[in-house]
Amino acid sequence: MTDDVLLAARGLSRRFGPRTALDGIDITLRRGEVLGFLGLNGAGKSTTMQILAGALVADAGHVTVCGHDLARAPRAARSVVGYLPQTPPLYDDMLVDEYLALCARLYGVPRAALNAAVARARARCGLGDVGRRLVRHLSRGYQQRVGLAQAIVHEPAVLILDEPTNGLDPAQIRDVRALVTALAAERAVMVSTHVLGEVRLLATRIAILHEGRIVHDADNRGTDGHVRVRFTAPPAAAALTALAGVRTAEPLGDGRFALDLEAEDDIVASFANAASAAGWGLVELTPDYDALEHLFMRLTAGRAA
Amino acid sequence: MSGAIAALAGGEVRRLFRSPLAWLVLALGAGFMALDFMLLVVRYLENAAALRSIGVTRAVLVPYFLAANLGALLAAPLLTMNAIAGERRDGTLRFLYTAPLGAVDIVAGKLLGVLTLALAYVLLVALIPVTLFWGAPIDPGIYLANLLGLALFTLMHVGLGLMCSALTRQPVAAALVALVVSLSLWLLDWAARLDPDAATVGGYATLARLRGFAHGLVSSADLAWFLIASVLFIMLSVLLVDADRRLA
Repeated sequence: MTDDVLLAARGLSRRFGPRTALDGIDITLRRGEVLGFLGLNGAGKSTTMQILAGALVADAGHVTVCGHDLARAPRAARSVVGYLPQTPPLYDDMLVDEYLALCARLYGVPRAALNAAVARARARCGLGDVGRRLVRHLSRGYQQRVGLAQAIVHEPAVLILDEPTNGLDPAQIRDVRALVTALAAERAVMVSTHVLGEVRLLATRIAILHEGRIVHDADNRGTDGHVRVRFTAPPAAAALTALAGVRTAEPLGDGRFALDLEAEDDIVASFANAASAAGWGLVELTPDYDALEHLFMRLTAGRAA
Repeated sequence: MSGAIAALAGGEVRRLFRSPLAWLVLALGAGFMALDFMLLVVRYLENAAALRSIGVTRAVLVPYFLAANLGALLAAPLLTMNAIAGERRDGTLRFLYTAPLGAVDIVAGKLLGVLTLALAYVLLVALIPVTLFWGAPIDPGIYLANLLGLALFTLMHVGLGLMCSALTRQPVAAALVALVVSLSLWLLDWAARLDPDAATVGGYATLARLRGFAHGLVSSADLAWFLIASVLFIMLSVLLVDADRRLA
């Protein structure tokens, strides 16, 4: 798997005056992976992404992209990264095609391949018929797509997208999700967003940043193994975790629990059988669609900046 | 020149020509210089007897190019103010920082873009008095020396404007600082003339440095002065952009 590591950041720290924005974080991105990067406002997500993209220099730590050290070989490292900041970096007095061609050339796309690269990026981002329009005449959603197109026009190995679905309507969000999934097949993608449902559907791995530290970094299991149950005669949480395959059991009140089960085949059925046999009156057992929100709130609660 | 620098310069030219500012500067520059030229020719014709002793070259061309230099002094801050400050304000400078470009590439691209427009101004200024060559005994040496002086003066002021643009995120502030510095450098000559104690500072006056070119004398000292000042301003622009990238 080591060969598939496209980006590795170790011990990244960054201060802004007296405030510590990042406190020695590690991030690894592998080919084919979509890392959902979550955190409260001010947690340090954008700072991290700016450092990984080479827009900001870390006070400590180092970043390697496709084997190139970002500090020692910045051009080589930056040339394989595509970055979409929170606000798309657009020249609103340029035509869409001119702007994308400029981006491609800045990233070293040869002249001969320029038109094809621009056409491909435009097609992928649903910008087919706006190539000859001024960027400032486009709607917010289209401008966001142009920002996404500039990030991929040079076919980067690593894609860093800071809230890429900002300002998009639900249909456009679905398109971006499909695009990111398609792009991730041969690349490593890092996406930050505040929409937890989007991360649940899009990410293969989820990292949560809080107060400049990574407080969670694990594969995204979606709703697998996360269930909610309700008993008429609820047991203590300890009795539930004593059952085989139950990792955690969080009481939610009124006989309800949020359970984290082992990722094994038939685990839900085995749990249901065990709970019935125990006589706790199992009346509800549903996938926990709020598990990620639950995890996020638990990890970021009580420690807000 | 690398492809990225050429792309950046091309993008800058496109954006400049898509804004009304560049067209306005060129149109006003051409109009102002054409009017100035016409007035100088009319003045010469009306006072031909008195002015014949100094010749048409000195009576028309020399003051014409002096006005052209003043035009460049006023135009350069307007053409350079957005180059870096505007990008910083709009958040696109950070985009350039993430591209595989060094500070030298960014400044070189911006410089070449603005210089393309400045060159258009110099060419316009050079073309207007060409008509004199058909009907008057013009000294081509003085004409070319004045043209060289204007080109160097413009280069230096574009460099100065770029440096001021690299200092701030407000284009108007960049233009004002550039204007104050360039006018101060211009007026140092007057200060030196008025006050003998200030004579040494007169050597730093752009107006004093243009005097040789105006009279057809291309001295290596004046050439070097303009080139060193231009390189200094451009290098400071590079350092400012580099520091901004590291310290932002």
